[in-house]
Amino acid sequence: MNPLATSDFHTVEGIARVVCLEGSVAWLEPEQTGGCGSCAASSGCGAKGIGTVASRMEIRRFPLANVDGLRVGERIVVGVCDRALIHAALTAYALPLATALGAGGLAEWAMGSDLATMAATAAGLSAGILAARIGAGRLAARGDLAPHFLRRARPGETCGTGEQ
Amino acid sequence: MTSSYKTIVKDGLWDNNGVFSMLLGMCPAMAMTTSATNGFGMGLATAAVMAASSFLVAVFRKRITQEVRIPVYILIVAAMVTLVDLAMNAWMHELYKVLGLFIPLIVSNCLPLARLEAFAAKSPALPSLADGLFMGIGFTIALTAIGAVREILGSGTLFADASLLLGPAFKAIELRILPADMGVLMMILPPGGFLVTGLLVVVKRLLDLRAGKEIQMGGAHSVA
Amino acid sequence: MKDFVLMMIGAALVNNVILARFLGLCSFMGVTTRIDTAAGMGLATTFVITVSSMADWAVQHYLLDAYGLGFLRTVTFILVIASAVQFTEMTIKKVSPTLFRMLGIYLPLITTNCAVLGVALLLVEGHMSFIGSTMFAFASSLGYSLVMVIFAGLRERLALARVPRLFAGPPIGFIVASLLAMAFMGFSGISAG
Repeated sequence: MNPLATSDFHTVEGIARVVCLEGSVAWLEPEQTGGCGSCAASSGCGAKGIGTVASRMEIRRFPLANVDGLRVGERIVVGVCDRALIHAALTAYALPLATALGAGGLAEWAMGSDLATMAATAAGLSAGILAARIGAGRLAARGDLAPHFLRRARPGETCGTGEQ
Repeated sequence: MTSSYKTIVKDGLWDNNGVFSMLLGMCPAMAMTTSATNGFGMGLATAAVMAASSFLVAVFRKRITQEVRIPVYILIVAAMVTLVDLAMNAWMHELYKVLGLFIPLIVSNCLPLARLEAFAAKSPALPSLADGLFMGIGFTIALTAIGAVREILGSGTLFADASLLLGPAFKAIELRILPADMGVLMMILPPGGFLVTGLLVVVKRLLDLRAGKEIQMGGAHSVA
Repeated sequence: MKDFVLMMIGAALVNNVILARFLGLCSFMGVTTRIDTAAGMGLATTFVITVSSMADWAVQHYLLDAYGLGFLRTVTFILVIASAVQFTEMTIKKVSPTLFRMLGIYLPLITTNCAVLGVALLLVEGHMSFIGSTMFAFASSLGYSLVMVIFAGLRERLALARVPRLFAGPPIGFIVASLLAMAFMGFSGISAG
């Protein structure tokens, strides 16, 4: 992998930081981006919003083959094909939602009571999540989901959402 | 790291203005500025929340551990927002009806949380109170400015309904600047909100440039 | 049925969450530099808004209304939304760790912007049934996603243009957004009936 590789138009970039090295594998942690798009580093939306009550960055660690002599603390840019990102988002979010709403709509049309609809929606959501697991398995098997190393991040490069 | 009060005031009002420099709190800045009075009212409500929550967070900052930091901040802001919401419902009912659901939405406004994290968590109680207050006042000034521009261009008045929303004492500032049929309706509608805010950011950058300071590009990135 | 569809079109287009109601502007400005990230973010937000609105409706109906605790709405809704976000994260992690990793790197955290809380509060005002409220939330978030993707497309073009330095970044984005808002105002005739 050429460390000087720059992405072409169809690659989505993200910035991650090396947190630990194990032999030839580097463990990376994605850099935190708030929904605002401004980095955690700035004094702006460093607040990160209500959502980060729930998630910490440690659980998002991922491994990458250390082909370029990376050291702990370096920031690098990883990329993935943009089609893969859309497929992933659709599988994870659209599929369960579609089944949930479909089930809810059917229950409402058939029975018309709020409780029944709620139960049906919950059931639909679970069914959708199971379907998503199958879909995700297929995506992973095709190898699309793995991020690949693009280059080291330039010092001012922020969050991969692109300064343009 | 405590700054002098002078820096706090200057930062809050101009240098680090929540809306025009940091580009936070955009939602109420465009939604609630259909008139100068609305902007003013919204800003004051936010300023009250910011001052109170900054003060509380600063008082308890030694006791709040790192892990529960964000949930506690949010809880404090939410509690303050609920208080302000109930107070406005009781004592400033007309304004409450106009501001509607944007009062509870102060909770998700990036500005209070950002100041809590950046300042109140590390500073003693009184400077934090000052910071929250003056950031809030800067926010109020920004919102009133946007509201004033939109109102003058849109309906030709300035501070219309001030006596209705803020109290009879404010009747004096209700003005009519342009004749009623000269207004550009677009300014009071959503597109006007976006347009005026964007142009006012440019105006601030121009003023900063004249004063010889660096232009802050892209919002809050460059500020410590 | 016709009312339903009209309600959904109203929520998605006429009273668009971003361009008419001014909710979710932080992410609107921040995440729309690429169409792919905007689309992914739209999908994620749609999921979070719909799921948390369902939970919020239940809480409002069975807890707050039943016991007269309306004043606790802000605090409880935030708790529900935070839990919904947590639930989403945990579920995706369980379903497929690789999926979770990838979404974690390229999409911003599913933070709650004004849109999630705003839609939840709006459906309380609407006093609709469960399915009605859920569809309202879903339609609103679809409108949000649509506008995000459109705006991202506009900004990708904008990145290739020569913008005066004073206007670069947020200001030109706002001006373009105002034009987009004007375009969407054309939909307002739909719900005139």
